[in-house]
Amino acid sequence: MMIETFLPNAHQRSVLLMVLARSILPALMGLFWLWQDPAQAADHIAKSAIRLGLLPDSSPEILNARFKPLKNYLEVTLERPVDITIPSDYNELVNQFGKKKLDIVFFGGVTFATARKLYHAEPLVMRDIDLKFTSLFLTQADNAKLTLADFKGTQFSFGAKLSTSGHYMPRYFLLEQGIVPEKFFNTIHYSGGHDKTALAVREGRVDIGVANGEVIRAMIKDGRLSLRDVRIVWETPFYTDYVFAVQPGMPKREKQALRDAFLALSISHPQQRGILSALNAQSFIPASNKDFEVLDNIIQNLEKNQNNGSTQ
Amino acid sequence: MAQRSNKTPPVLKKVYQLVGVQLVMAALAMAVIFQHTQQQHEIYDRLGNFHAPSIYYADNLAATLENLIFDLKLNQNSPEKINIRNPSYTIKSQLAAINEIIRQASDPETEKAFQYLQEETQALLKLLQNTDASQHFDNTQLIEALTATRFRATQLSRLHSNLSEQLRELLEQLDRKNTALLINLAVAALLAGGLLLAPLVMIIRRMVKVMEASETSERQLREAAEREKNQMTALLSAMNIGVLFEDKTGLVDFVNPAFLRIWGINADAPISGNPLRNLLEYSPSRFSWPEHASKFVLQVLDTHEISERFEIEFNDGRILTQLSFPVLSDEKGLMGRLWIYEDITLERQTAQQLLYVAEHDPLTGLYNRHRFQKQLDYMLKSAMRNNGRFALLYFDLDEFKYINDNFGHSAGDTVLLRTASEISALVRDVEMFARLGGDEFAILVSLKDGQNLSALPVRIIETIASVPFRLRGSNLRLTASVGVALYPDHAIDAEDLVAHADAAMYHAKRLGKNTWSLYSPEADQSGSMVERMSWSRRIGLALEQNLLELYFQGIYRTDGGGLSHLEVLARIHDPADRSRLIMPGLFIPFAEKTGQIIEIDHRILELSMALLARYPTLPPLAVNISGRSFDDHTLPDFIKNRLMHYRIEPKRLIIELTETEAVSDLGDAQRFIEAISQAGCRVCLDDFGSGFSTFTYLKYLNVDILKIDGLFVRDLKNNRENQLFVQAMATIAQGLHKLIIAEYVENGETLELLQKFGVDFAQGFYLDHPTSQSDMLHKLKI
Repeated sequence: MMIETFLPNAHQRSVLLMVLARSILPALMGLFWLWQDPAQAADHIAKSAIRLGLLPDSSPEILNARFKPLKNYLEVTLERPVDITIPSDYNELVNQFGKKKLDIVFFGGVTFATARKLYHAEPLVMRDIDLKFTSLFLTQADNAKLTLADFKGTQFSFGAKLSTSGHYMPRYFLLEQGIVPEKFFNTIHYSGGHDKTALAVREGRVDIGVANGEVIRAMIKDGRLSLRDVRIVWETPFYTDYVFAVQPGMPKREKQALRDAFLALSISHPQQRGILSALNAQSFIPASNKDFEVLDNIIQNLEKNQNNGSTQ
Repeated sequence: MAQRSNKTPPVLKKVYQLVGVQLVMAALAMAVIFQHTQQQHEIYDRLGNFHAPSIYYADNLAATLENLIFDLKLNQNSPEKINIRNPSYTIKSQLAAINEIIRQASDPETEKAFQYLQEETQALLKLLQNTDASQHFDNTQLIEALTATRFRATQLSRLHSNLSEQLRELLEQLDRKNTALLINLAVAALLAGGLLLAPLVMIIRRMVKVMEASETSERQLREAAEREKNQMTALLSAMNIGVLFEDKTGLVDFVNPAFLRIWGINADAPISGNPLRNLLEYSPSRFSWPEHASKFVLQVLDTHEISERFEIEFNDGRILTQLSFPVLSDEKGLMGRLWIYEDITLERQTAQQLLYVAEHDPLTGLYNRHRFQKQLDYMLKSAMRNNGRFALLYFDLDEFKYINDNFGHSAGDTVLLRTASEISALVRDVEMFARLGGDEFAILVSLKDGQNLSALPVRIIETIASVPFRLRGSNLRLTASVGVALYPDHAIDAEDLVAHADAAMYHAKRLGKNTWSLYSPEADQSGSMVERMSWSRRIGLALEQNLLELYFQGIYRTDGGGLSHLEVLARIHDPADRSRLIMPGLFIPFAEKTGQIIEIDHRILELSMALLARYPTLPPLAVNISGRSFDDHTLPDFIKNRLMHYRIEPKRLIIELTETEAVSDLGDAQRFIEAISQAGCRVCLDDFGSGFSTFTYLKYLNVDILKIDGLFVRDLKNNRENQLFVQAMATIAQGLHKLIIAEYVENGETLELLQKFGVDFAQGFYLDHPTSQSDMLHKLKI
């Protein structure tokens, strides 16, 4: 009798099938996808140039000199030309990376964090020393003040505003000791570079300055700076700085080839010892995002504080 | 039904689809979970068994080398040298541990790093081999090699560490992806389920509604059935007819109380579910004709027909009728049989009584005139066929009128009763003895060839003469006169035979009474004219010579005893002997037969109305009209005309009709009564109760007054049955708004009873005797 009307008609059936298709097929495709090896995408390494960007924390001449052996080594090992780009400032470096004008960049800690946040930069390798970076607070050798607390109300200088070791990390460690630079010091300068800070201290233009520990040690080593002129007031604990990072879209094989080239370098190898020592390193080690977790937190905190300060 | 069961019901189909879809979804979900678990397992396996130990051993090696480098650097810079153990074995074993791990799983990412580590370590070990263990390690070259090796270990460790990190990320991605996949599956399952569930719910909803509706109608049907059953049970319990229902298999399903009562079965006896025959064993009743009964009582009938009506007689005299009907249902055919038992004992008895009453004289129990006439006709026919002979004896008591007049009807009745019983003893069974009316008796006797009949008349005379009657203290002896006529010797038809027997009787009386006489034409001729006269002649002469005389008997109210009206009674003076008054019982039957009754009726009416006109204060008169007058369509007009002529108020004339006559032709009677009523006269039904279906035709006869047959009244005080009859008749008369009269009231007790029963009027010797006109006028002081 009325039972006939309960049977689903053709329209109802087609609707049912459509719903099934929309819900089940993606699931099946997902399953199928699981069986595929995601790493099988074929890629080819272009014999084009590798565009290497460098953080302009020193003068281009110095940087070029320091990276020349590495450039040569990479060109030979990878059988590709390497073009070095040294932008005018830190921001420019990040911008150029964002515009994909650079394949691999030697970032500082803060610039890497920015590039990673904005453009998903992937860390590739770093020098052994980059895990154990410090910043040095310098004053004139004849200055009578001994501790940081003694320098209240004096003239102070950071390095570049976007520098990790010249600004972010020192500011962080100062805050850790309860020192807000803008209130503690009389005036605050941003010298624009580690060597510039060191020179400003030596020449007495500021009472105290902070700069990258490695740069200062290198300057002392090659005689550009003498411990007779400057004195180390305080050295910060270790933090991570500098990293070679690549574009997120770089083919896996190219990335691996680049990494292996860096990792192959050893100080036990006579020809390679120069490449490493020019970069102040004993070895390259694989880098990971984890190495920058602490720095990321510091940057976030500081930016928050700065924003709060500016609104006040 | 069968068709439907072959197809899966839509509800089940939907349920199957639903379950099917859910099962497919569940299977897919299980597959996803299984795949995911396997991948997870593989990743954890790689993390735990490959990367983690690699990191551990590489870090260990790095630490070992770091310590060594620290110690060497310390020795380089400080004057006091510490002793440094050759670390070759430690380094070798740590490398071997790493090797052990790496060998288990090939990995292109770390392959090269491990290769560098091996190379660097081999170089270091070679350097250490060349160095004397006892010597101080102060070699810069060694520090360099150690440092290089240490970084190789760090590289390896960090690579593994990065890979571990990637694997963990992959794991998270897999988790997210598979979770999303499972959620999709669940949503799809819910959607598909919902899509299938919606029509299913609709179906179930409708089914529930249909079920509710059918439940309601079922309940209503059940209630109606219950009601019907209760009504049926009440009906079955209330009725006097025994009812038994047997089912198809011949087992008792139901009996009503009347059934148990009729069969005398105890209500506690097990009845339902037993075979019919067993049931009757509980009955104490026994059949009069067991073989015959057992053949028909409760016989199993296969036919679907109504059984013959079968009568069952019991030893105790009861009679049942058995009837069985098949109970058929529209669909299933025969459901069982219905057996109906009716106790007809009383009806049968009543019928027999009625028959008896119709054929017998109520006083003596002898056959009455009606039956006698039938028998006479029968014997005539029979004798005509068989050349047989028979004799007709007529006799009466010579001085009966004297007894009646002087001692009352009761005394007369006693005499008649005694006479009947004495003579009955003389009469053989094959002979017929009848009382024709008054003191007139007749006997029909078959005669053999040559047999003459003298013994019987002689013995009749002797017997009667020998009976002493004791009436009011005086002993009387009566005599009888017997007349005999023979067929075919004296007459060959009934009327002549009767007339000749009558003539013979009167001849005997003339001979001096207390004797008998055989009819002889000579004697008839030699005797007076009157004796030879037939009844028609005699009545004709009486009418010619105005020998009709009216007598009157009063009808009185039972409540106050006041006179209501008078019944007109006809008498004729015998034309042969004017001093002899002939009673209506004698001449009316003949007059009816000859048609002279119509003339008589007219004469009596004429006389009565003249009297009413002459004496305006005279109470109403009731005039008897014969049934033959129903044919006379002029009679109602005659009555109307005479009423107008004499200017009499019609109410003063009451027409009495004899019941038996009225019933014989109901249609004519109805028309006649209607016409009389239209004329304004009242109609009284005489001899009420003597006919068969007394009450039935009351519906059709629109009479005003009923007169109960004297037969019921005469012995009322002693006869319980007659009391019941009279009571019933009075009740019915009241119910029908008719007046009721009782005649033959001969004593005070009877009058009291009548009063009690609600009878309106009474008539009889206790109140007054029929009187002549002059006596009546004198008595009423008119």
